[in-house]
Amino acid sequence: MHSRESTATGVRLDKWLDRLLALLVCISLLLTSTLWLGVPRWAQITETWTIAPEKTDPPPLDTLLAPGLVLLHDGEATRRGLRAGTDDFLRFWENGQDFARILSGITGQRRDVALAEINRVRAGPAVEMLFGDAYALSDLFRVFRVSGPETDILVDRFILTGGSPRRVYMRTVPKMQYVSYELLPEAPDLVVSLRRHIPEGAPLYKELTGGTSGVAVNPGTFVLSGPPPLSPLSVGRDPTGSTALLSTFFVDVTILRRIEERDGALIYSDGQRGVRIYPSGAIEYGQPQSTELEPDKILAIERAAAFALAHGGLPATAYVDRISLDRPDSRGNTVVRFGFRYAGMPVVGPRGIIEVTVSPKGVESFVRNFRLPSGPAGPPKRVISAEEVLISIAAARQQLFSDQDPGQIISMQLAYLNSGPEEGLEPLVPVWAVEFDLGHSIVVNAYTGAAERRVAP
Amino acid sequence: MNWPRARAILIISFLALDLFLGYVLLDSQREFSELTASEVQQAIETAAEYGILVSSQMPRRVMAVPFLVVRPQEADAQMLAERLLGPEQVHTVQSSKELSVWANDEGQVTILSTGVVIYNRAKIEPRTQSTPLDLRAARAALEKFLSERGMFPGDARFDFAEEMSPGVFFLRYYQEYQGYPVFGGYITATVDERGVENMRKIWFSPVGLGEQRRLLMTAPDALVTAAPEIANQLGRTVTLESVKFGYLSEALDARQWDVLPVWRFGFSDFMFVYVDGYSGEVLKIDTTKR
Repeated sequence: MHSRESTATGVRLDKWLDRLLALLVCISLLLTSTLWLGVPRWAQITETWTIAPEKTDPPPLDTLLAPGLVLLHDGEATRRGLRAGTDDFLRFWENGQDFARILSGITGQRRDVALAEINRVRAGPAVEMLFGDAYALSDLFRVFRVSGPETDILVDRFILTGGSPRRVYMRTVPKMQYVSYELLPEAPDLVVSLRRHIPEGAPLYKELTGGTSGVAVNPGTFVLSGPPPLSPLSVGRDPTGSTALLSTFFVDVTILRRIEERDGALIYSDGQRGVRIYPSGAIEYGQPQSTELEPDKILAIERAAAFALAHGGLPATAYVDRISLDRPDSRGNTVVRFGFRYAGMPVVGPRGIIEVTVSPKGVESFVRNFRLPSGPAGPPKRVISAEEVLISIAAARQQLFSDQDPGQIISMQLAYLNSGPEEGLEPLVPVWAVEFDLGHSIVVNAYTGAAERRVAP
Repeated sequence: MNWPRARAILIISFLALDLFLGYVLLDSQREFSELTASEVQQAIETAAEYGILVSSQMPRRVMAVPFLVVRPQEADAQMLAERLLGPEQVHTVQSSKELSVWANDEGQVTILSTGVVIYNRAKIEPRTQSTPLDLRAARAALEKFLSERGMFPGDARFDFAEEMSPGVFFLRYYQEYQGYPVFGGYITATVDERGVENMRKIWFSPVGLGEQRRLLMTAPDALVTAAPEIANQLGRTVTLESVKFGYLSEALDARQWDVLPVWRFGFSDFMFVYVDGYSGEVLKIDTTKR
């Protein structure tokens, strides 16, 4: 009896010791794996504060720098025009292949040209390409990867004659005078090409004159003749999601300081760089960088495009709207402003759709202020004519320019107005965007004629 | 095979192994460890090369801390002005988006949109030479002045005082949250036997500590990192007299914001240098007391 009890106790003890051993083995395995695989809580932080690498190639410059309007001078008082951002334009432009061949066909000596000769050329047949901004001819050679004569002129439009022999005329900035070069016989005839691509029902353009308005207009300012009724555009938020974009600026967003402003805007900062996200979804990025190096315009556009692409992307119809320096001297940073077009009409705003300030050391600031059009927000309404715009400007002259002489109008086009980053999702209204040669930039409401300043020189 | 014997050996071995692994694991997860004395000494010597002589104790703790989240203390400007000046004939001198100024015969109160309150007494009676204040009486006078007006917060902690002339004290208090100084929140005042001559106050409403902890630079490391900038800014040999950990918030006209942890290095002549606790960057040099 006693022996049976002690045997039973021994068996129980055996089982208990076996279980204890199994438990100890399990614990040791658990602890070992925790030690090997686990990271101490306080060390679970990355200190790497570098910009995320750019993900894809930037859009080609020959697309971003394409002309905004191409006119076919065919001997009529009004000319058909092909607006950038439309399918017909894309088929004509073909990544600027023909334009590159034109540039490489430039030859001979540069010749100054009187306006009378330009008027004769515009009688046709000829093609006129109007760029959104002025570029150094040497920069265009770089962008389109061709060689040409040594020159430092800034040009904002090209006129190409048809037939043979052919010449190229360019308008120089800021003097708005014309120069001309010969073209090699192998340079393509763009008149033939444009006639093939431009539809019969293409918008018609006419040359604007100041008339009796008292507003000076530079010769060669073409505007839509009889603008069609237009609807305001309803808009949606930037579909990329602004908070999601944070991770494209900072590797580890959990380490960022956050400031919630009274208007609902959020600021994130790692101490070196900051990002402000507006309630509208617009986003601003800044990283101060002091520099005294000479800026390179084309490199700045490439960097700006690459940065914009890596931080939310660029719309398919994006273009370079304006390039300027943020300092009056030539050593300032380059400010590249991108716009995009909707149905061939540019969407303009107080700071552009995307604005990138580029220093030779990198991107210093970035503003992304997207409201993507989603369709008409109402029935089409009458749009005032270009002549009525001149009257509106004349009436608001004091309010717009104080006592300054604004100079001559050098560009007037229909556009949609994108409000500032603080604004919400109000519909985009059509405006006439007007540029002056002395740097003023104004918008005139295309329904009401109310004029307001967009950019002061 | 003698299984009971083998099992006993295994049990003892695994028990020892588990105890060892447990200790190692606990040690690795400890939030606080310490620098060695030689590491601190090395930092002190490096600081001396930049003209910073260390006479205070150096905290050695290594710790991970989060941001502090604060909001501005919202208060009715007129009510604050009336509390400080008394309700008699308080009138607006200036009012704009950035600030409002109130005044009566008692003095003037300026309230900034960032929440900063500035009080200046108007009535200046001749000083009585017979009863100059000592520090205790000066502190008591300021605390009574503010308490009577419902403006002495319970989380205020006395920071330092300087006797500017016999019986005239400059006093500073800072805000405290969960035992941490919030240096951005402060009360400063000049007090003599006639009472509070002027007072400046900015106080925050702490929302809480952030969720994400980050490794804080140790005080010696922060000093060494900031030493070149401190030397560059001060341009003379200085003596480090105090080192304190806390949070430094600037007064912002915002709804809510994260506040950086800082090391505050106090030098002779009441000069303070605030250094970012995460990066060692010099954030602010307080060379003036007012």
